[in-house]
Amino acid sequence: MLHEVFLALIGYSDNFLTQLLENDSILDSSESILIKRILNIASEYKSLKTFIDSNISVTGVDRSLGGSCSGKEDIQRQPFGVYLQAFCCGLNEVLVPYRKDIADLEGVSLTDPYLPLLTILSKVEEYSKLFEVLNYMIKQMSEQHVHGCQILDLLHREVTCSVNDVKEPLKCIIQSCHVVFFKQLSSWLLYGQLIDQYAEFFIQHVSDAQGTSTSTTTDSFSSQDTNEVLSLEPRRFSRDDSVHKYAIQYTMLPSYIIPSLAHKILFIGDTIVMFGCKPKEKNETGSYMSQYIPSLWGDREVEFFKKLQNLQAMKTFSHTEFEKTVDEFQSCVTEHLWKLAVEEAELFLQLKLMKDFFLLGRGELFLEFIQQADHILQNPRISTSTKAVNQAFHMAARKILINDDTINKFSFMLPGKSSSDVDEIKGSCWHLLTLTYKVSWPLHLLFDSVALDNYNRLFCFLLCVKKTQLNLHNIWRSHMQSRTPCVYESERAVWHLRNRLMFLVDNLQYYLQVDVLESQYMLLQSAVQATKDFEKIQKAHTLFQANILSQTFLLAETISSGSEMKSNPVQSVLAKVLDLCDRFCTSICSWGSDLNESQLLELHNMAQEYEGLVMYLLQLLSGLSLHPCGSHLSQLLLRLDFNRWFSKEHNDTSSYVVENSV
Amino acid sequence: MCGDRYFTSVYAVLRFNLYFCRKIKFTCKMPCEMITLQLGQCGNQIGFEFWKRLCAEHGISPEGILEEYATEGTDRKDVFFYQADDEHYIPRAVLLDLEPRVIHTIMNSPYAKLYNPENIYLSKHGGGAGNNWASGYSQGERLQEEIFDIIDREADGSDSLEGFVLCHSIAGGTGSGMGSYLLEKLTDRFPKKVIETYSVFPNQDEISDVVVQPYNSLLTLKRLTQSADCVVVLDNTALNRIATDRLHIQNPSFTQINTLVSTIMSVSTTTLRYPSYMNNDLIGLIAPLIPTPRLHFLMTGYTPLTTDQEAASVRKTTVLDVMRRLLQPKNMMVSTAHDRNAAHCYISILNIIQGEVDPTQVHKSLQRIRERKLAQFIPWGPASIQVALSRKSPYIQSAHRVSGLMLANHTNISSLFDRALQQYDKLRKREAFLEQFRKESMFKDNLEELDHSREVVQELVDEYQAATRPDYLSWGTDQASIDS
Repeated sequence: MLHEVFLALIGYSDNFLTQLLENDSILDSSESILIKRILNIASEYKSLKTFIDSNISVTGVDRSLGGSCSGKEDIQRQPFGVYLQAFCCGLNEVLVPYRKDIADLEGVSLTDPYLPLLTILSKVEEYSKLFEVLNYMIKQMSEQHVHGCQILDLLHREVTCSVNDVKEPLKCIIQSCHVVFFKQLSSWLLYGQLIDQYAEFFIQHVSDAQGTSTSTTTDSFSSQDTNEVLSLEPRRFSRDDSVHKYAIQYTMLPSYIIPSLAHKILFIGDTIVMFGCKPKEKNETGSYMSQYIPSLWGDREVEFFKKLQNLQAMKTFSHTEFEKTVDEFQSCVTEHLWKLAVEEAELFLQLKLMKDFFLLGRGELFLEFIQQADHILQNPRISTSTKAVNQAFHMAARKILINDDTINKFSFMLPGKSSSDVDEIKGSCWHLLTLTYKVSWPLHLLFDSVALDNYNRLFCFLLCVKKTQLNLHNIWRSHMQSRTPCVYESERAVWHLRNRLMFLVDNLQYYLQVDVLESQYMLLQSAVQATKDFEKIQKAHTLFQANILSQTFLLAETISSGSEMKSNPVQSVLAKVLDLCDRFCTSICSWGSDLNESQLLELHNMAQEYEGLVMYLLQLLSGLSLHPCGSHLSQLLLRLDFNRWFSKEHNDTSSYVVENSV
Repeated sequence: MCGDRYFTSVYAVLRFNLYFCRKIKFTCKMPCEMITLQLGQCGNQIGFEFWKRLCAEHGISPEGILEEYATEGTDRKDVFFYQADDEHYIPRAVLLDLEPRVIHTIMNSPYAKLYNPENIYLSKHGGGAGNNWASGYSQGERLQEEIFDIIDREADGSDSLEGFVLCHSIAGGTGSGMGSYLLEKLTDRFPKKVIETYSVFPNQDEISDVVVQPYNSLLTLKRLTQSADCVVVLDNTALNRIATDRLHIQNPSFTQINTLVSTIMSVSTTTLRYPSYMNNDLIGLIAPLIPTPRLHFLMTGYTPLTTDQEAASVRKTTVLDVMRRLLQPKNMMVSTAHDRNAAHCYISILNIIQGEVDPTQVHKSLQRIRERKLAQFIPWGPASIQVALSRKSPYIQSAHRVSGLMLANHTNISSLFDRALQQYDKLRKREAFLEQFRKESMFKDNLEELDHSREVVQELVDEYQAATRPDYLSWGTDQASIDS
């Protein structure tokens, strides 16, 4: 009978013992209790064994070939995966001491036929707790279709809330699963390659994830979720080719890897992938990666690999060590990126170009351009406009002696808006003008389409200010011709309004260029020069853009009630002022030096409008400048109200009501 | 006959071809070119120093060839120079004089080959104008065809000429007389071009050997008022004081004074000559400074004014320090008398600051200057200090990290004109030295021209005085025009 007991304990049929138990007469009641207890353990072991047998490799290969469920036993139906394999291996390993104990007991029983059942029980009962936990886990795994990295999470949870005897074996299993995990991780971190046939890793190919989400049983994430994951993902590299899109699958992420760390891991691999996708013109052969990876890790490749190996070999997973290693990887990658950006793509030069062109740093170029392109752009858009504008731009650039390589990176577009046909009929298409820029690899990380759109908004605004200023200066030019003492009285009125408008626009221009752009650009420059970390450059650039956008009043604020974008109040006043200037210039050009009644009235109205706008602007500026984030407003205020002319006048006419304001 | 015509037509074709080649060569031209006209002894001297300075700043050798170290190439040399076929840089300068002394000095200097010899005009008799405005004026009239041949050729050679820079003194004969004639003519012929002058006013501290200086000055001032767009006043009185008091030079030579002048001239054009986000053309530079057509006389100030020995000592060079120093009268290049009758004030200020400057400091400096009320502004409209940050030439080593130039329109400049009026009146009362003028056709019959000039200058003084009062807006008109 002892032999039957051993057979049952090692997982073979327990029929004999069950029959024995059913037949009360044969066994003593105390004996049957012992046997029952032994059988309990035996059945636990048996279910573990079946789990292992049904999931380990050979069957797995069958499954992977023949689809997810090819009609094996349905009880243990589990999606196949490498992690599951590792889990089973680990499980097997854990069961080895148990089997050895059974074998030992058998040996003892051969020499001592009267070995008491109690001895056997006491020996195997040491494992009952462990088996219980393991079976609970297996149950959970099959019930909840736990897959891939989720297994790690499950194991981790069990380890943390288990006691000594159980803890060690569980750790053993975890370690076995970590072998797989670190294999995947190292290929990702070192080469940006995702070796993940069964969609088990927590980083997934995005198009992949959508495609296989149905075949993997963890279809808790629908395509909608994937989109969400995508949109949450801050770094979207090479948006053009969908082949290289990766994202974090949060459902797969083990809870002991915090999301920020996962992001770092994603970033590292992503960047390495990106290194490999350098535009073909420079890397025409198909030697994908091979060219860059060695230069990325250099001779440190082995060192980094060892680091991961050490982590894998550790008995218990150490968060701090893990994070430290990931950080080391990251700093190496970002430094390499920095090197590429600064040395190959000439980052500093490109930033300068951004300032020179998008932010009108080369004033003389755009002065010339405005003159060259005005006759094209003041008319409605026609099919040849774009070409003509670009020609004008090149002409202007050649006059300023900017070399062609630089200028060829920039070109203008006049996107026709189908909705605003009315606008186009109205005339000028200056506002449609958009500047495009050929970003040199890998600076698309810095100048992505959002950033370029922002630059374009700045460009349009600045160009508009510049053009208005130029028009006013031309009016000044014509006014300077009357230097004889006798002038028409209306002429002086015109001069004074021109002066006021010019003052406003000139000082706005100084504010924009010196107080905002030049100052912020200097901060950006020093920030960029101080670091060797591309991430920090990215941050500095984002900050730079955010600052200049808000300080040039181009940041629109969302009005919660209508949920529509309302432009910045300061911006809308400035737009009105610029519009007034334009109207003033057109009127003046058509008038003679002596004005008739209706012209005088129009002049008077414009002067009134100017007063209203300026007072409103000053009120707005002084009101908002007390706000903690409105310090830049006080800068503009200081420039405009330097001799306290407006504040004095405002006090004199404090009853002035701004009725025709925004 | 036939043969002749044949040859003529061949010649015409050849000329056409030559012209065409030249045109192609010159299609890539810089916009906003300036032509410099230097007249008379003083004008040629300061012009000479100015070109020396520009050559140094742009890395151009005295022969007009780009130095090897000057390869950076973002500076805009072509605003003041043009490139000849053989890679020579040639100044867009026209040198005019009625007597040969100064021009000969230039032609014997290392810079002799810099200028286009066709642009140097010396009157044939070489007798000068005898420090007589009327003589200079009438000689200008007589020689106008030859002179305007040169000017027209220069103007045709530029792509989009922005204007003229005239260097002269107002006290002598050639610079003042011929300068006056040229000013009038230029306004007629190039009504759309800006005319800026650098006009040297005579030293009041010493007795001049030119006795008719008050007449000359007054007659020139009329033309400066009516025909120039912008006059940068260089007051010899102040320049000499600065040289003796600040630079500790016992008897300052012309060259030493002219170095100061050339500094002012070069810095005031620096935003035109280097890539910059603002003030890229002359109009953009001066238009904000000049509110009404006749108030176009600008003062300048410069800092640091130190000798070479002093330069080594450490000086504060923050934006605030530079801007504060620029507002101090001792750094001004115009000596103005204190006027008790009017509260003189700034109409406008432009500071051009060169060197390593933190742009974030500009705002703070403006704030401090306003707090401390360091500058008094007009009571009839908004006004402010504009600050242009500009590059420094990389080829000139200077001990000063930061330097600044102020261009200011200040109502007190009228005291200079007032002084000229007083001196004129003294002389005129005695009817002194008028026979020299009567010799010229302009004054043969009567002296109306003098009386008229006096009127114009007096009105200019009045207008500047009016600009100190809040009701300036309605000045010069009987009824009040629509307010602001």
